Amino acid sequence: MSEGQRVKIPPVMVIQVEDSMDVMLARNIARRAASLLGFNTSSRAQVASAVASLVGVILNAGERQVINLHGLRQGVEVGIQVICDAPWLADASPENATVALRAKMGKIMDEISLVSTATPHIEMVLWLTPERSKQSTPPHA
Amino acid sequence: MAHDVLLVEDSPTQAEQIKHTLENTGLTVQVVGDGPEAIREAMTNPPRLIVLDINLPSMDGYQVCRRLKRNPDTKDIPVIMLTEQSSAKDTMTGLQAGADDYIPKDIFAGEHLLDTLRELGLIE
Repeated sequence: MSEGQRVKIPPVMVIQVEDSMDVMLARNIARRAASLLGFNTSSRAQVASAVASLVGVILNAGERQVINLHGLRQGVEVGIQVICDAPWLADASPENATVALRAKMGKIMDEISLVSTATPHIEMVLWLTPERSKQSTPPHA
Repeated sequence: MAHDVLLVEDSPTQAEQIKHTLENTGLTVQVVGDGPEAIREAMTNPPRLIVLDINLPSMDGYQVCRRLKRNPDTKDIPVIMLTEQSSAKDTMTGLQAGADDYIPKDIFAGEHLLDTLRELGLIE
């Protein structure tokens, strides 16, 4: 990944998670955001599934939270970032929480971590590599 | 005769719903109910697209997809997995098996399926 500061870029989308019905909407919004950034169909499925898993984590914690999705630029690289506050993990070690999140989600995203701030938050990133780009999808017409 | 889409789905009710969605776009659809039959049909009458369920009798959708993608005669046929199994691990298993998309069967499934057909150049 290239050096430099990470900058938030459009699209910016918000998912309100309140109950289990929100998982379908979350998946749908995640697919749309990934498509707008240029991800191909299989990478969109990855992002949608990661966000759906995050909805499951939130609901299992008995929480109502907002998931933020946006584009991310770092140097010449572009990706999609998913961020969600995780106050229920305030007492957890970031390392242990990150291991638990990775165990649940596997390698579906390039980066998954619990960032320890005043309110800890979960961050996930999938980078738009050439293999994940729409341009790499061959036409089958 | 080869159809545009080979739909591999063992539930007649779900097969009928998906077939209806696909036929509304002008595509022709053949339905088969198990994995071995799907592989045979893909080899003898290659379709332009395979829509594949995961829970199938005798061979699951992941195995079917791996076999299709290993076979030089069928490896370039796009495969969309359309399934009730929607965890992150299921999704990665499907994509690692070679699927071009992995769509959970929810209320947005039809919409996502049509988006992917457009992206693959199968419909306008």
